[in-house]
Amino acid sequence: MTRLRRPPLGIAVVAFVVGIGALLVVINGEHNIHRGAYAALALGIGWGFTGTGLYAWRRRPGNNIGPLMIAVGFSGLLKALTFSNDSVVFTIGSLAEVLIYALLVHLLLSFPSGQLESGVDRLLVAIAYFNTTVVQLAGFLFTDPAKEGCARCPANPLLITHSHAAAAIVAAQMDISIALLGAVVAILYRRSRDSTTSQRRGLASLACLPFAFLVGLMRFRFSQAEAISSLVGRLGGGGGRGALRRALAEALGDPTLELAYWVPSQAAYVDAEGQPMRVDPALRDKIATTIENEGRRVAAIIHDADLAQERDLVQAVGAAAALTLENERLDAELRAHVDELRASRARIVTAGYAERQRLERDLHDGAQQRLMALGINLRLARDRIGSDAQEAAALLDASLEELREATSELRELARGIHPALLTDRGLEAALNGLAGRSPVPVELVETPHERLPSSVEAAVYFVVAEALTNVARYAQARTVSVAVVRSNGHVDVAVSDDGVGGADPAQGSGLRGLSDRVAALDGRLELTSTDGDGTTVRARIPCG
Amino acid sequence: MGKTVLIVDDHPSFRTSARRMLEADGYEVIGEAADGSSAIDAARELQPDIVLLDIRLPDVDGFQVADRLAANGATPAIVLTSSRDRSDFDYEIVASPAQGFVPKSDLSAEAITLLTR
Repeated sequence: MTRLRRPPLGIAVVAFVVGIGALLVVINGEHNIHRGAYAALALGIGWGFTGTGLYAWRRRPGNNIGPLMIAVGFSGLLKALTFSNDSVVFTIGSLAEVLIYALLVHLLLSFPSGQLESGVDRLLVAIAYFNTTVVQLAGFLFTDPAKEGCARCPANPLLITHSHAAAAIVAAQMDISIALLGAVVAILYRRSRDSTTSQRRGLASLACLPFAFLVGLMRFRFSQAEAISSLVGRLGGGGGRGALRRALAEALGDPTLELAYWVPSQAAYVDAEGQPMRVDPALRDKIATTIENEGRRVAAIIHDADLAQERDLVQAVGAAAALTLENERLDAELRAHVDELRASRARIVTAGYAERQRLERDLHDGAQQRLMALGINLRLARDRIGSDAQEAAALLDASLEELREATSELRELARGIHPALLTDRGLEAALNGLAGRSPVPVELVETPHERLPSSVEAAVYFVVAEALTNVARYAQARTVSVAVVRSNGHVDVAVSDDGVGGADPAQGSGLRGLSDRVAALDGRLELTSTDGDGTTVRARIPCG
Repeated sequence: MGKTVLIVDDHPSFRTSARRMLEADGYEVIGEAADGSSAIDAARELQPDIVLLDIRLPDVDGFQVADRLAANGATPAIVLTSSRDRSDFDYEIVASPAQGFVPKSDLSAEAITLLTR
């Protein structure tokens, strides 16, 4: 069923007409006293609730509170029909006279969301409706108004027979009503205790039914203004880190409120200390409301789910604090960057030690061992040269082989420390060298012809070298393309393969080390890898 | 027949050169091992007269291998060797049950004979 976004104007007209009709019925009734006072009460309840309900419906079209209040208003007017001198109208009024209580229970238990949130709520409301319809009808079937002390009341056309059963039914109806009242009061008390300040105001107003409900709705507006005014006052008072969170918590009446600041460069939230903070949209009992300033995301206010109905208030309070939030966001972003820099510096130092250990191990296991063997062979050759020239020649051949291997290993090692080709002839030649040594065919799409700052050339070289090494080891690729483009004050590097993809950037220290090396130049390294769709390593490094 | 030798080193090129050198001088190389644990097994099985033992091995170091061989009773003569200088291991060499240390750069059959006679 489609819910009406706006209340039909006809409801007001009908309420007015029915109200006038009820007024006439009460005034002309011959079997009741205090007609004037009752007419005023019926109109007060009927028109008051209907008017307030129309206002609530218009203000919150998605909420059932408005329609429920209108129903209460109409049931109040129906109750006036018990004053009628006509037996049919009198009967309708008598049957409907207690319906208003069930509607009030429904209204109270569904405030403020308009929904019956729990099974207990739904059960109580069902009992209330049963009590005010079925039980009421049952009692009326055995009630003769004339024998109940109302000699001038019209006859009951539904009367089966006047019986004591009616008294028993009415007593049962009363017991059910008292039990219901107790349960509703207990639920409302618990709800009031657990709710936010703003909701408590609404509930308190609701408890002073009927007209105070209007005040409750009006107070929502006042409480919004009051909250913003108190917030602005507190924001001016300083108070250091955490003061903003406390001010917002007080303004919204939610002491558990938390703030998460948006860091665009990391596309993530951090707390006031700059530590990563997860803002889960499915947090239990919590809701995150995003606050923007001039169209840019600034922060998220993580607040009690009870404030879901007052998102407007949260947004308004957030908007009032947007400038201060922006300042705190900048502080948090700075702290996040400092933390990242500190971690990156530590990683670079650690990586430096690890690199030195690797070099020592490579030297020891490689060239040094070959040189030791070479020494032994040369000594043996020297000893044999007089007695066994052929053996001496074989030993010298073996020595030459060891020397060739040692030279090759030293060359590789030196290239790993810093490639001489890069220093001497620049990036283009060095990348060509890398491409030539790669076991996977490399297409050099573009490389800068001019020389770049040596730190940038080195970073680009090692990004490409590490990416090509990873392609050869893991990608099972047929080809790989390398593009290094200088534009707009940056060098953009892209190494893309057509391999199996599925690379995890969190795995392996090589990419992490490269990321730190690139970050040290204020650049960024990214890895894109989808299963079955190859891998691309991209780096962007400032290059003025 | 010359003394029997077990060569323990994780670098094949060094083992080959050492074997050639020792055999040229009359030693009989009866086995090679590339790490500490296989060296202990080989020594137990082959009962060599001399173990030429590299200090830096992939699993346990040469000092630990020497300790375990000594604890086994019938201890062969152990000659430690390394591509590093003696000064790097002075204390450990003195504390070790090995007969002595020869840097790889000075390794010769004569040096081993001198330490193990």
